[in-house]
Amino acid sequence: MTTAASLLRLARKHVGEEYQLGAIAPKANPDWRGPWDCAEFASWCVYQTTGKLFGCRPRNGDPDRVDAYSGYWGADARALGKVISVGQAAATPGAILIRLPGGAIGHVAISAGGGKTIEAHSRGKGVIEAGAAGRRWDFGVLVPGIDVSVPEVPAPVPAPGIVLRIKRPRMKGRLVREVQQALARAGFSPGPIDGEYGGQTAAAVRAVQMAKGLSVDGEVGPNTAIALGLRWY
Amino acid sequence: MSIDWGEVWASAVTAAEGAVNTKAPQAKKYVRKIMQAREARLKLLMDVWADGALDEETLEQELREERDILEMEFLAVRVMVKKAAQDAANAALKVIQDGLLTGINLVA
Repeated sequence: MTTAASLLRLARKHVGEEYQLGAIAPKANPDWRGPWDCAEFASWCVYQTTGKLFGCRPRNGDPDRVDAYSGYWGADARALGKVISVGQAAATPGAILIRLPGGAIGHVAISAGGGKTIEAHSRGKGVIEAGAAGRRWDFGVLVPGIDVSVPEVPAPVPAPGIVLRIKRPRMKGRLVREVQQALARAGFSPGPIDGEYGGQTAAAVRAVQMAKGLSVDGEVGPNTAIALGLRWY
Repeated sequence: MSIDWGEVWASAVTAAEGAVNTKAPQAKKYVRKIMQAREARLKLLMDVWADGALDEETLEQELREERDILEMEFLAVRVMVKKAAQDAANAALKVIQDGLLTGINLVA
């Protein structure tokens, strides 16, 4: 069993490296220096320290070719790991924080404890040490094979503000319409401007996020709203 | 907005604390701390609702999600059992939803 400290030491060595959405990292290559996708970064660090694939498909495929993805992280968390709350994960060095892909893309970050993270964040920021606060996470996971010490009580993470995203039923209202109008003004077609946050709107949001070097998840929170010139809640 | 948020929030925290098993009084401290981390977001949801920026179904969906998050965080406090975590989350969100309904009635 490896320790959380080993995982974090390895992850920190890669701070400052390049981010690229969807870039595959050869998990068995200890010399890989990016570019990194968020889920690939977490899966690579886990493989390098535990020798096990997590958050990848095919599950038993060639470690150098398997694809890591936030959706697979979510599925493996439930099937193979131990799901914990966001507050617990943020307080636990070596735990993993997961934002599920509501549309197509979610996010994965390694918790450094104390509300800090190490993650492949975005094209604009690359691999960084960041914070979990004020961001949307669905849950955390303890990955088998990593020895972590979960604190007796969670460290509550300040919740994000309003985040528009793909949900069933769809999020609806004037705020969604304003986002769609801003997307259209910026030249990113959101489909019909109908005040419903659907797949086309999320795709246009992802396109804006990519163009602006933001974290690409198809969700509209304060950073994306500001990039679109919107006043936000 | 006709809702006195401060009053609604204080009642919600009290309701959640009241639902915690009295055999684990230290849990109440964490209930309050966990709720504090969600307060700004819950207040924003009320503001968005009051501005008519999101529809009722969306608001209800977001509040349900908040309830689930609170329950999960409460459950992470080791001294809390599942029933207490559920009761505390339900109690808090019920107060907030009741406050919201009252606000709507006053506005109407």
